[in-house]
Parts: sequence; C-alpha cells; structure tokens
Amino acid sequence: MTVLARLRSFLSALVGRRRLERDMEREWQFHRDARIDALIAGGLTRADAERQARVEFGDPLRWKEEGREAHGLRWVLDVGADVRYALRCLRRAPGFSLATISMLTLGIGLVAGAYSVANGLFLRPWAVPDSDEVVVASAERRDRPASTSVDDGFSFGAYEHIRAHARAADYVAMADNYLRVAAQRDERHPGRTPEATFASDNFVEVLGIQVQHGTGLAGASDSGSKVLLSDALWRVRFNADRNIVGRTIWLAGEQPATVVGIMAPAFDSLGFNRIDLVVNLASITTVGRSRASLLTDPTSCCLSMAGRLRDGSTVEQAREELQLLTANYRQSVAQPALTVTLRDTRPTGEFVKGGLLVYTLIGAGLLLIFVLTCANVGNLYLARSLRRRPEMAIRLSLGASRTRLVRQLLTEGLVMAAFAGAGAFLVARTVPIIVSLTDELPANVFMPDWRVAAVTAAAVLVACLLVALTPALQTTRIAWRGAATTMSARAGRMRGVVLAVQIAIAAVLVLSATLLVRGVFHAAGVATDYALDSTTVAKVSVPAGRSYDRALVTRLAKGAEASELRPGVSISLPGWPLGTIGRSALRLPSGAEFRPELLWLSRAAYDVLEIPLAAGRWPSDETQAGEALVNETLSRQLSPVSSVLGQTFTLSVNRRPYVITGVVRDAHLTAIDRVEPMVFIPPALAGLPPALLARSGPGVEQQLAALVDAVDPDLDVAFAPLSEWAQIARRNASGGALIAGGLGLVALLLAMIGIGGVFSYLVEEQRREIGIRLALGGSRAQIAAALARACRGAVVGGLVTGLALSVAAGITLRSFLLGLHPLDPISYGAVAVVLIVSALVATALPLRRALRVDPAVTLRAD
Amino acid sequence: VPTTTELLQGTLDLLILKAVSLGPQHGYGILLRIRQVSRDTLQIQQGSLYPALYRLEHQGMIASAWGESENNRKAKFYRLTAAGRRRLQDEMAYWHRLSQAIGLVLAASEEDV
Repeated sequence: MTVLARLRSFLSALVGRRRLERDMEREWQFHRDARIDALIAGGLTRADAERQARVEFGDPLRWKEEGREAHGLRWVLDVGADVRYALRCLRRAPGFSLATISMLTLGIGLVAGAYSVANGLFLRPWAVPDSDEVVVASAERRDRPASTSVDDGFSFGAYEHIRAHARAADYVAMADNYLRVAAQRDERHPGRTPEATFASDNFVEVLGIQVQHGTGLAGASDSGSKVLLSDALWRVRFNADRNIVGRTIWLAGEQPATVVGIMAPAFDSLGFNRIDLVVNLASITTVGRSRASLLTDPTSCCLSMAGRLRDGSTVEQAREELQLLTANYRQSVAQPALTVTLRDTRPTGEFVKGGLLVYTLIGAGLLLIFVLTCANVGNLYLARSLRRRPEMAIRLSLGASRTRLVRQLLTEGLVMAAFAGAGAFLVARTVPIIVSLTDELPANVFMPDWRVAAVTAAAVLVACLLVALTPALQTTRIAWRGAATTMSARAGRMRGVVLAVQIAIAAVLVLSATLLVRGVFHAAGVATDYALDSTTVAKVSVPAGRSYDRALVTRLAKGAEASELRPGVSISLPGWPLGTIGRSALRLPSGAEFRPELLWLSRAAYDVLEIPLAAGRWPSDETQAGEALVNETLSRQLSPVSSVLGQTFTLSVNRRPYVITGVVRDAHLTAIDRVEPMVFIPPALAGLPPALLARSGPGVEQQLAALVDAVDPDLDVAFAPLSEWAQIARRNASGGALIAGGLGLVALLLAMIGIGGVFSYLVEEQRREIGIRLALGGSRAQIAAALARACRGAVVGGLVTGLALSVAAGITLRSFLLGLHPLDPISYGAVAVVLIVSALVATALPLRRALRVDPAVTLRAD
Repeated sequence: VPTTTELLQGTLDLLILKAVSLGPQHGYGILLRIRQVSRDTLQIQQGSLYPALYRLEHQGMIASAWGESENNRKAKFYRLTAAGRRRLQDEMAYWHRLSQAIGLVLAASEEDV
C-alpha cells in the first residue's frame, strides 16, 4: 500500500514538478502571512514582524531541496544533471564523440541485427494477433515402420468433420501452391512466381488477419474462385489499385478469380511460409489443378491445419478433442487411426536444430566483435578520462564523493552507448529491408519487435559497463589518492591488457574466416573428380493421377539404350539428381552391417559421369542379375585386406541379394567435402521419378526431350545441370565464408584502430621524453625500438593467446571446412603475416609522428 | 534550566501525526497545535516542518488538499490516512514503552539494584 502511495506521489511530483514548487511557495507564503499577523497582534511593527517571521522560518532554499528529496525526486534531478553534463562533454569533443558512438553503433548494431535474424528464424511466432492462442495441428500414422513414416495429414473430409464438431478451437485448413497472378488472361510476369495458400473460408476470421480493403473469403459470394491479395503483390502487380476489389483476375494463366480483399501490409507470411495470395479452398481442384477427387476422397492428403483456441480452452483439451474427432472420422471411412499433435506457431524443432550450430557460431563471432569494439572504445575513453584528471581532482577536493564521480563517468558512457543503441535499432530495422531485397524469405518476421528492443537495451548496458566502468574506477582512484605517479603504470598495464584482448579476438576471427574461405576453395577443387560440370539431367515426371512404376524406368532405359546419345538412367529426387535416397543398410552373409549411400545408375551413366572402373567388371543392367558396384571407400570398409569382388550382400531397402562385380574410383558424388561409402545398383524403383543423364552440349536437351516423348508422350521433362546441387552446397558454404570473412575484416580493422590508438597515445605521452632523447643524441631507430618495446608484451601475448584460441575455433568449425584440415598451415601462416602487416600499418602513422618530433620545439614548450 | 527543548531525532513525525489526528489542519496550525499542547516546551524550526510533512505525505501517512483557512486565505490542509492512523498507534505504543523504560531507569534507587 505504502509502496503504491510512494510511487503515486513520486510520479505526480515528477510529472507536475512546476506545480509542486509553486504549491510549496504558496503554502509557505500562507505560513509567513499567518505568523506575521500573529506577531503584529503581539505588538510588533509590520517591518519587525516580517523580519522575525523570516528568521523563524529558516532557509527556504534548504527546505525546498529537502522537500524535493521527500518526494523521491532527488536522484531523478541528479541523473538529469549528469546526463546534461555528459551531453555537454560529448559536444565539447565532437571528434571523440563521433568516433566512439560510430564504433559502438557498429558493435551494438551487429548484435541487434544478428538477434533480429535469429529472432525471426528461431523464436518468433506467426504474425497474427494473440498468436499464443493459435496452434498448428499435424497428424501421422505411428503404426508404420519408422523408416517409411510419412505425414498423412488431414483430408478435406476430416477437416469438414473437425470444423463442424470441434468446440475447443476454431480450425482453418490450408494447402500451398505456386500460382501465376495476372490482370489479363495468359499474361506472364517475369521473376518469382507468387506463393498461394488455398484456405478454408474462415481463414481471415480464425487467424485474425487484418483486411485493408474488401472482405475476407467468407463475406463474398459463394460461387467461383475468390482471392485475397497480400499488400506487396497488390502493389507490385496491380499498382495498389483499390478498384481491383470485386474485379476478376487470372490465376495460373487461365483460371478466373474474383478479388475479394487486400490484406494488411503487416501480414506476408505464416512463419516462413510466404503468402502472396489466399484462394478459397474449394478452388484447389480448378485453380490449383489438383485431382478432382481431392475434395471427396476420404484418404486424400494433406491439408495443413491451424486453429485458434476458444476462450477457456487449453491446448491439451484441444488436442484430446482433435484426436477424438480425427479417430471418429477415420473410423467412419475405414482408415487406420492417426496420432494428432498440436504445437505453437514458433519455428519447429527440426528447423531450429538445423540452423542452431551455424547461428551459434556466427553469434559467437559477433559477440567477439562486440567485445572488441567495446575494448577499443574503452581504450579511447580511458585515454580521455585520464586527460580529465585535473577536473576530477578539483571536483573531489570540492567535496564530491568518488561514487558521485564514478556515476558521472558511467552516465557519460551510458549516454554514448544509448546514442549508439538508437543507431543500432535502426540497423536492426534494415534487416527486413535487406531480406525483402533478396526476395528469398518473407521479410516481416525479421521486423524488430520488443525482444530485439530488449536485447539492444541489454547490449547498451553491457557496452556502457565494458566501456566506462574500468576508466571510471581507474581515473577516480588516481585522482582520489592524489598519487599521479602510480597512474601511468596502472593505466599502461590496463591498456596493454585491452590491446592483447583485441589482438587475440582479431586473430581468432580472422583465422576462422580464413579457414572457412579456404574450405570453399578447397572444396571447389576436389569436387570435380568426375563430370560434375558437363552433365545435363533430364528429370522425368508423370502427369497428375499417374504413378511412377517399374515399367516406366525399364522403358526409359530401353529407349536410352536405343538412342545415339546413350544417356544414363538414374532415379531422381529433388536436390539428388544422382539418385541416392540416402543411406541404406547393407548386410553381409557374416551378419556385419554397413550403411553406405545407395545410388541407382545404369551402365551408361558411368560413361556420362566419367567414373572409371578400378577393379572387376561392369554389372549387368538387368535387375534380376542382382549385380552391384561399390566405390573404393566402401570396398576398403567391407574388406580391408582382400578383394571385395564376388562378395554377396543384401540391401534392406528392397531385401534383395546382390553380388559385387566391380569397384569404381572414388568421386564426390553426394557431397562436396567428402566421399561417402557408396553402393551402386541398376535403376529400378517404383514410386520415385526417373532421370536421364547425358553429356552437356548443343541440342542435348532437344534430343533427350525427343527420347522421352518417344517412350511416352504424356511424360513431362525438366532440365537442370548436374552441378545444381553442388552449386547450392557451394553457395551455402560461400555464404558462411562471406559472413565470416566480413566479420574477420571488421575485427581486423577494429584491432588496427585499437593498436593505432594505443600506440599514438603512447607517442603523445612520451613526446617530451622522445624530444629529450633526441636532443641527447639518441638515434631515431633507437626511439622506434623503444616505442615498439613498450607494446611488445601486449602484442606477443595477444598473438599467442589468439593463435591458441584459434586452434580451438578451427576444431569447432571442422564440420564447415568442407574437408580442409582445421590446422591448415597455409591459413595459419597467412593469418600471422596479415596480423603482423596490419600491426605495422597501424603503428606506422603514430611512429612517423614520433620520429618527426623536433627536440627544440618539445624542450621549448617545456 | 532551558524553557524549550530540542526535539529528539525522529519524534517530529510522531508529533505531526498526532497533531493531524485531532482534525485536518494546515502547516502553521500544526505548529501552533504542537506548541500549544506542549505548553510551549517543544520548539520546532518552522520551515523544517514542511519537509517532514512532504515525507509523510509521500509515504501515504497523511493526505493534503487545498482549502480555506479561518481568516479566508487559501491554505493546504493535511489529514491522517488509514495507514497514518496505524503508524500513529504503533509509534505511540513504542513511545510509551520507551518513556516508561527510561522513567524506570531514572527512578531507580540503590535498593532496586
């Protein structure tokens, strides 16, 4: 109660400070008037009475000060005064202020920007109102063998059943697709194909999405296709024309749809699922070209489902209800039961796990840069505080306490860091802009929110402490004791430590960057031990409603054999054109089990890929022959000493026996940084699309298309270079190397600034001594050597610590080095040279200034 | 022997609370009331009353409102709050115990030891 009363009184005094002071004056005026009246009544003259009343009342200034303190206002006024003083100090030294604030903006900005990215990637729920009430439902069959587990999802019928009967939550069903969007029929636009979500009519209402023009899907007429456009698509494709609402546009070239509304700019995705437009679910069979049976077949799959909990319902209640409703439905259509899970709308565990290590490493790098920046600024601040020693001494002798001075210096640090923090928040604000420029991910999830603001504020506080605490304690201790002689040594030691830390951090970051960059080049060199860059892949797909069967692969293989081009046949998966579906258990008759990568390749494919036979003979393309090849790596694993030729084994994936007829040379077929153990069998697998491999050249695509057309005119063909997957892998690695390189460069620059700053301070401090030495006949080389000696300990200490930490960093980074050894001597040598050259460059300017000292001028100034 | 007494540290709050508990009063009135009830024994430096009043008000022990004084001037009147009443009772109980104890010590004779 009293705490509340105090808070109320404090706030009202703070807000109404003028009124408070006025009230005090009025109250005391009344007091004095009443006293004067009483004294006059007692027989005094008015003049005497006024004087007497003034004396009895005491010093009004003192009472006013105590009055403010009584309202708890004192510290606010003190802090206000400190901040004003700090601002004056910063204004007086504009060069220093600009340098420190921009460096801190860089440091805090990196932290804020990186956290913005991590926040968007790992922490942020869907950008819908009250997202904590929204749940994502998934369903799968748990009774299947684990290896073949697929998400069975919800069928349209199941969704209708759930929507009609659920009481704990309202559900919306969704399915994603890419759809061309145009104002005219068959009009084409270059660039990215918009991402559409087919959604049930309650999409806008359940998720609480704001519509800026028009209505949601439910409000419009019942017939035909209905579309909600995102703000971005509306602006880009329809020039933000409000009259588009109610008009017909064309989807996928030839499907008319009525625009019913434009969504608010803040909504562009559900998590990472970008949503450029929302189409009513019933149109999925026409606009989305899905099978007509999708809406009626009870076993059709897979709608994704999200729900908003109704008031008073818990997630557990909703899950139990959903489980029950799903079971009822599946029973009514005679299907096996599904297990239902509900989760919140933050990114899922798998996704988080996948990126976590990379982001932790980048985060660690950024933190080091942050510390480096603070060390640098701290160094500058220390030098400046030491110059303000006389001011401190005067204030102490006038009665200011040491705490008061420390607080003053900390406030100055805080003001600098706060300016930098504001700048840093602007840096974080550019993250969504950059993301939207790359056009790879939805941008709004990266918009800074309260978490980013909190982290920025925390970074500001930490930066303030790192930058200002040591200088504040050092400066005031010296001034306090009045022992200026101890200062130089103490401050010098402090600067030495700061310098060593900077050099160590720079060494770690530069080395990590060098290793990652070297890794990319290393991988680019080794991954071309076969015809990776000169092979074209034709991915064959069947029209909707048909499935991939064994006969198709056989007919393709026959066609390939008959063609002049002699293409190889493989089984293709997205991202894996060489036909590996991952590892498969391989069992020897002895019972020993191995897990090599499994690849399906026809005999001709090895010629196209230029993979030579190392031993044995080529296997027959006939599946029945049961012949297989292994690569050298698997051969060594299977039989380290004797030949593997003639060895038999069974594969768990198809439970067939095979005999090894040959060994092929190792090649980087499945990864750019390592050769996995591999087993090769003839292509024959139902359920997966086949692909043709041919040597790239003019007219190859036409020939392949003609070949496929001859086998079956209904088949579709898409072409891609074989190196596509390697390029993606290389691009990812290059991206990492680029980030690391950037961080390394920033670290190097900061370390150079740090070394330069410390060195020039040293030169300034010893200007007089240098002058005397020169006057006494000392050579300039001796002076340079003496100055270098002063920094030697710090530089050597920093380098040794840095290289030792670099070894640890290299080992941590091992899995990102694409096969490069973490102790790669070239990298270490290069980094040592770069650091030494940088140190020399950084010290060159101040050294030149030191050597230009004119003894006559210096001594005259004394 | 001096006719007036310096206040013991911390007793000003108690006196103010007691004075205000007798009815809403402005600062000058509180001063007069204390002086009158203590028969001019307790002297308070007049200005120092106000920081004490503001402190008690900040703590929620008393509340204030502008009103009209007996000679029709605008004055700020203070009244006791519920929290102030509780505090007054506690302080009074403590004061009685203390003064009794001190009285006992001072009245002690050789036989009591």
